[in-house]
This record gives sequence, structure tokens and C-alpha cells, in this order.
Amino acid sequence: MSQTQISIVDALGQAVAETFSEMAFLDAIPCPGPGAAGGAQVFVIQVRGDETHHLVLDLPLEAKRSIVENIIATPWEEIPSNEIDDCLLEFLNVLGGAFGRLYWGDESKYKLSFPEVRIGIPEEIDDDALESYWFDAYGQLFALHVGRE
Amino acid sequence: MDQTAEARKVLIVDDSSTSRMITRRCFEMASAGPICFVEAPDGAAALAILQEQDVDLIVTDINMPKMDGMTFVWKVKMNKRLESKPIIVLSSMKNERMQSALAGLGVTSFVQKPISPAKLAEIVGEPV
Repeated sequence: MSQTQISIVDALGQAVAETFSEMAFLDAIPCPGPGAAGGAQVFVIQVRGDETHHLVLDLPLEAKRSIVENIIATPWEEIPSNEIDDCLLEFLNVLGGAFGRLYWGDESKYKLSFPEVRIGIPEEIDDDALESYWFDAYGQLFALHVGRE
Repeated sequence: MDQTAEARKVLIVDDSSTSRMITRRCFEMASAGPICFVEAPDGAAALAILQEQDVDLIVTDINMPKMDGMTFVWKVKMNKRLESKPIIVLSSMKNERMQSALAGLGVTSFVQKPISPAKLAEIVGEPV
């Protein structure tokens, strides 16, 4: 394997911090998780290098609202739902790209799938291979679930 | 600044309307002169626009449906009328192999998303 520069935990943490800061102007830091999640709408992308990682972004409503309002600079109530989804999908796309760059490094090749909106953790991700990482963005807890193939 | 200068036209090619909006805003903040935009959600739609309109600069994503950015760039560079158009590639993916391939095709600049006015200002002076 070509990746050994940083651990998956560090790559995820840095990718989350960078993307929240640079794209949504929010600070997001790792925190202990409250437990189960992933039962509602989630955003999913595959990052494929010499192994495949499914990133599942699991955001509560208030976190979605903060991210989208900061990026689009428009009150939540005035943003059509398709634009909210597009915004969060692009957000995950950038996060996935940052993760790939940080985890595998600039010299390695990796690819991103098209990000998707799903309901619940996708069935194709093996529960046994799923790990959840929690973050805190100004008191709003959210999870990034990672399934590895 | 020459107030009579004609607005420069930028073609933004990206399947995400959010990404196109961010790119537009960054150009508006980074550009010293008047600027206008045309947009396309993929390479095929962008080529159709280029059949009918002249643009001063092309900014394209890589990962798009229908026709991806790499194919779009190749088709632009293979077209005698369009080959000299400056192209900025804006992608969430970044690796040396892709950047090398894009440089070989004559791409002016590569920027990893998210773009910002500061990142754009670093490269915008020459092509825009």
C-alpha cells in the first residue's frame, strides 16, 4: 500500500477541518460520539485508491442549515430543497477529495464517485467494516461513517 | 481601471450548481475588470456553448456525468478554433498524475476545490 503518511483518523480529521473551515467557514473538531446514527438522510461518496472507502456524512438538520447558509449566503427557508442537496453533495465531494489527497498523498492516484443522497447507511456497506467518527461544529454534533473494502 | 472595457466572458463547467455559484463569486471578487459568465453542467453542454459563443476563459471540473472534464479539455485542445483558450481546471481530486496529464494537454492552471478568491487571485492575473 502506498498510504502510510498519516492514519485514516488523522486524514479524516484534517479533511473535515479543512473543508468546514474553507468552504463553510465553520470550525469542526473531533469529539466523542453519542451512539447510533445514520437512520435518516445521509450523503455518500466512494473514495477509491488502492482500497475503497465509503464516506457517509450524517448531519443533523441544524448542521445542514449552518453549512448550506454559510456556503450559499442565503437564509435556509429561501433555498429550494434541490439546491440544499446539491450544496451538501458538493460539500461532501470536496471533503472526499481532501481525504483522498491527505490519506494517499499527492503522488498517488485516487478517484471519487459521484456523491449521492441516501436514506440510512447504504446496504452495500458492510456493517462490520463500518466505523463512525464524530465531530463538533459549534455544538452541533455530526458523524462521518467510513466503510472500508 | 478602464471603465469602458468589454466584459470578459468566463465559461464555467461543473455539474454542481453550488460549485458554479462559488466559482462565479470568486471571480467577481478577484477580477479587476467587468466579467460575465456562461455555465454548463457537463463537457458536452459546454462544447455546444462553444459552438455558438466566444469566451475568454474556460473553468472546468473533472468529475462530471455525460462528458468528463478530461475529455472536454482534450476536445477543446483538438479544435483549431478553441485550442488557444486558457483553461483552468478546478477539481476536488488532486494528484500528480492527473495534473501532469492536464499540463500535457495545455491546461493553464489547476486548482483543488474549494476555490477561494485568494486562490483564484494567484492565477487569475495571467489568464483573465
